[in-house]
Amino acid sequence: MAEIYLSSDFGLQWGNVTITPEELAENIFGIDFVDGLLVFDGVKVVNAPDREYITDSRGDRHMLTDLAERILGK
Amino acid sequence: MSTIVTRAGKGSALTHTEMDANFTNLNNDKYQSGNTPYFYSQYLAAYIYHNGDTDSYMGYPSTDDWRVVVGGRQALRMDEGTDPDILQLVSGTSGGGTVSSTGRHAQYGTIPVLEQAQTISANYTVTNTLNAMSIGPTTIASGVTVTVGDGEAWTIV
Repeated sequence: MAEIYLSSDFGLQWGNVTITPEELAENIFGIDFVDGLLVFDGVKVVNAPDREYITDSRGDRHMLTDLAERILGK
Repeated sequence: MSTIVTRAGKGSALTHTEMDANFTNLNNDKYQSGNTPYFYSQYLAAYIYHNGDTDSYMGYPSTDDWRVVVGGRQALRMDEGTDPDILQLVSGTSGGGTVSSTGRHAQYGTIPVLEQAQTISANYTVTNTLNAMSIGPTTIASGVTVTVGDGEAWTIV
């Protein structure tokens, strides 16, 4: 499966999915975009086989497939 | 090194004065039981053992490679050739770890607090088959990418 790349420049890349830093910050509690930089606090990024997700600072799990569909309509 | 006049070197018998001088020089230069040895830029043995112990020692098994072995188990290693920034904490039975001089460090002592840099300022990839943890809030610097591979996780506490 694909690796998960995280960057303040492009946000999150996973396969052909790209979620911008602004979109990450808007959708995930515990991820902020401050002065052009991504800041993570109380967040877990898990790249489990066929179960890739981000757990936000509230403990809610966001599957990357759902996140991509919700944000990007993919 | 002590100055010693020998009969062979002199070519004739030594005088009483020369004999006494030999002993005086040896006496002045000797290390005596209880003295603290002092060496300056001397090449010593590759391994230094605890007295009477054969499986606990510190040594330089090869160039730029320093190791500490305790009870036959390698406990510490720093290999300039492999990674000059990494001090390896090695354990043969319960896993090991590393302490890096760049960007990651742990402070141990009387205060049970771990400290860590707040910003990831160089590309970082979670090591295969391992998970990673950061003490948040953790910022990813511009131009830097954090990579979480398949089967791995990065937790920011």
